[in-house]
Amino acid sequence: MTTSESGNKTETLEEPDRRQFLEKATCAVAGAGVAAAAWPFISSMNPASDVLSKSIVEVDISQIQVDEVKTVEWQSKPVFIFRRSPTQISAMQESMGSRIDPQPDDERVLKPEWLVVIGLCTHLGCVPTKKPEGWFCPCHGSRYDNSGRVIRGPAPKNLYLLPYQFVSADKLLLGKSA
Amino acid sequence: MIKKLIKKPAMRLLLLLVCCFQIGSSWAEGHPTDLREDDIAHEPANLQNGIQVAMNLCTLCHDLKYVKYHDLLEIGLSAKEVDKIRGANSASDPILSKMNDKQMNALFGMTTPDLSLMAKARGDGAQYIYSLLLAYHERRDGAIVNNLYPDIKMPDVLAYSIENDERARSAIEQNARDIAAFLAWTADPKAKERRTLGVYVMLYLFVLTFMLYRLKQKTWSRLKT
Amino acid sequence: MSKVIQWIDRRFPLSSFIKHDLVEYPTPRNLSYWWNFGFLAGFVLVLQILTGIFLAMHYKPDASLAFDSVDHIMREVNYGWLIRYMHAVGASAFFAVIYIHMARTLYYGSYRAPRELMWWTGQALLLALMATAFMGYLLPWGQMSFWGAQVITSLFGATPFIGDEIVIWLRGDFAVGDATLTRFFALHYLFPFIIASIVIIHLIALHHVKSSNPSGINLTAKNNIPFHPYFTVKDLFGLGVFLIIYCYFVFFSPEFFIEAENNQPANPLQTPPHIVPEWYFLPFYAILRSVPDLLGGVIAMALSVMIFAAMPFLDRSKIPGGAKYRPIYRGMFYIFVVDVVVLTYVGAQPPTNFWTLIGQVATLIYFALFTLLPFLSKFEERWLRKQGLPAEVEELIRCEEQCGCTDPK
Repeated sequence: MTTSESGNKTETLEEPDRRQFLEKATCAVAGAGVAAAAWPFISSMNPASDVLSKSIVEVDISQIQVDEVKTVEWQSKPVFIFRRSPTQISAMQESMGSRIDPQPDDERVLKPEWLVVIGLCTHLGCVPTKKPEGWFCPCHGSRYDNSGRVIRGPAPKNLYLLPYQFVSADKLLLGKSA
Repeated sequence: MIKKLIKKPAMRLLLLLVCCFQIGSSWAEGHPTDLREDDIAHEPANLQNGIQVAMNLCTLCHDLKYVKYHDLLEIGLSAKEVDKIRGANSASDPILSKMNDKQMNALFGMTTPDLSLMAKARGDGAQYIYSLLLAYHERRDGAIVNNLYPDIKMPDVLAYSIENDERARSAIEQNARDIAAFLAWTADPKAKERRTLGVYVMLYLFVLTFMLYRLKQKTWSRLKT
Repeated sequence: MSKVIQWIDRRFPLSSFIKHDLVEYPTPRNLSYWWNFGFLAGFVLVLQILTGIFLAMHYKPDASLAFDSVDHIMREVNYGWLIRYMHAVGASAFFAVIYIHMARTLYYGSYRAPRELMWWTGQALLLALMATAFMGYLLPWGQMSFWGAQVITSLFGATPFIGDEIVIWLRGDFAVGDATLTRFFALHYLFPFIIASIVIIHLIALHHVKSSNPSGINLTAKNNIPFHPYFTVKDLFGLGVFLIIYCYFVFFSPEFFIEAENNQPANPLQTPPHIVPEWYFLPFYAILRSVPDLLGGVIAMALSVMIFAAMPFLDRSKIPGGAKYRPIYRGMFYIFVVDVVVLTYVGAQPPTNFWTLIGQVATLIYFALFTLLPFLSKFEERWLRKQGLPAEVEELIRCEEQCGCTDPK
C-alpha cells in the first residue's frame, strides 16, 4: 500500500529546523522522564529501611568472659566479639601477622581487650571456628591469629573489620563509628 | 480545542460518566452524618503532642504494630525524646501496648484493634477518629455512651463527657485533634513525601504533554494543506 | 551498526517489520482521539506487569504474612508506596481504558466484518483482565479482599450437581484461606503473560485488517497516512494526558479506588457491614443481584459479559459509520451507556427493595437492547434507505462497493 503525503512540499517551506528542534527537545525531556521513573524501581531493590535499621546493633558485652567469643548478627552476618587475655594481647601486639596481609594489632582494635571482626573467612565466606591460637576455617583450611589476621592461606585478607563504638564500658554499638 | 472537544457528543458522555461515577462512589462510601466539622492541623507540633498523648492513653490498650519507635524521628522528635518514649524497647521495635491479648479480653471481652492503619480503615480518617474521641456524653442515668459508635467498648479516655470547665474542654478537644493527626500520620507516613514528589511529577508531565501537543500540531499541520 | 542490522535481517525480518508494521503502517488519517485507547491499554498492561514484578519481590503470598508484607512495602521498601499505588491505581486505569476502548468499538461499529476476530480476541482479553483483577484483589488480604473472594468463589456453587465440590476445589480449603491466597498469587502472576500473548494475536489481526475509522468503511490508499510520525506523536500526546490523570490519583488520591475496609486484615469470622466489589465490576454485580435465584443470577452475570461477543451477529445493518449515520443505533448506544452507569450506581448500593427494583429494570433494559438489536438494526436500515440516505453515506457505500475497500488486501 502506498502512502501519499500531500503536505510534503509545505514542510520544506515551514521552518523544518524549528520542528526538528522541538522533536529533539521533546525526546530529550521524555527520555529524562523515563530515566527518572526507572529510579524508584531500581531503588526498591536496595535494602529496605527495616533491613537498614538492623545494620546498627547494640550489644551488651558485660557477660563475656576473658578468652570467650560472643557471636552476634549484624547486617545478616556473624560478628565475633572476642575478649582477649593479657597474654593474648601482648602476643598479638608483638607480631604483624603473616606476610599475606601484615597489619599491626592496634590498627585492628579500639581497646586491646576487645577484638571485633566480621566472622566470615575472607576466602569464600565460611564461618571460621575458634581455636586457642586463633580461628580455623573448616571450608578450605585458612588460619587466623587472635587478632583475626590471616596466617595461612588460601584466605587473601585478614578478617574484615566493621565500624563500631563503645557507648559505655559494657555496651557496644555495631555499625556506627564514634 | 477544549470547546470543540466538549461539543462532541462522545465527550459529553464521558463527562457525564465521570460525574455519575463521582457521585456514585462518594455515596457508596457511606459518610457518617454526625462527624464534627473541624480543621485538624497536621503540623509537626500537633503530631508531637499527638504522640505524647497517644503514648499515655491509646497505647495502654492498643498496639501500633506497624510503627517502630525510630519512625517517630520522622515527625521531628529528637533522638533523645524517642529514647525517652521507647524506654527499654529497642529503637527498631514496633510500638506495642502494655497489655497482652489475655488481659484485653478480660477487660473488654475482645482484643483491641491495632491503630496503625485505623485512620485509613475508616472512610473519613482523622475526622472520624477526632469525632469518635469526643462523641461521649453522659446519659440521664449516669451511663456514658458514645453517639457515633454506641457499641464501642472503649471508655471515655479523654474524660470529655464529664468535663465542665470550658478551658479544660478546649484543651481536650486539641488533644483529640492531635491524636487524630498523629494516627493519620501512622496510617500514611509517606503522605508528605508523596505529595511533594507528586507536584514535581505533575509539573513535569504538564511540560512534556504540552511539548507533545505542540509537536503533534506541527507534525499534522503538514497534512492539512 | 548497519552491518549488525544486515546480519540480523538475513535471519529475522527486523527492518521490514519495523518498516511495515511501525513506521509505514498505513493508518486512516481521520482517526479521532477515541482511537488512542488501544495504545493506552497496551501501555497500562506493561505498567502493571512492571510494577507487579517489583511488588512480587517484596510480597509474601501467605495468609499469615500477606497483610504485613503489603504494609512492609508501603512503609519500608524504598518507593514501595509508589510502586504499590501505581499498581492499585493502574488496575482501575486499565478497566477505564478498556471500557472506553470497547465503547468506541460499539459506537463506530468496529466489530463488524472483517474485524470480528479482533472483537473476539478483545472479549477474551476482557475476561482474562477481569480474572486477573479479581485474583489480584485478594492479595492484600484485607477485609474486602477476603470477603470479595469469598462471595465470588461462592458463585461457582451455583453449578448444578457438583457446585459445592467446585467451590472447595477452587479454594483448596473449605473457605477462602491460605491455599486460595497462594494459588491466586501464582495465577495472578501468570495471567498477565497470557493477556500479553492474546494482545499479540489482537495486534496481528489488527495489522491484517487495518484500523477501522469513523467513516465505517475501509478507506482508499490516499486517505491513509504512515503511522510514524503522525500516530506515534498523537498516541504519545494521548499518553501524556492519560499520565496526568493517572499520576493525579497515584500521588494525590491513591486511596480513592481502595475500599477503606481493606486496611483491616482479613477476618474470616466477621463480614464487613457493606461489601462492594471494585467499581469496574459494579454493573455486573448489580445484574447478579437483580436476579432472585442464585443460578439464574450467575447465568445473567456471565451472559452480561459474554454477550458482547455476539455483536457481529446481532447488528445486521449494512449502513457504514457505526452510530454516526444510524439514529436508532445511536439512541440504543446512549441508552446502553446510561444503563451501565445506573447499574454501576445500583451495584454500590445496599440491597434494599428500592435499589433492587431499579437494578432489575436496568438489567432488563441491558438485555433488551441486545435482544432487540437484530430487529431494530434491520428495520433501521430499511427505514433509512426508504427515506433516502444522506449523500455522504451514499458516497461511502458507493466507494466501498466500487473499490472493494472492505477487502483488507
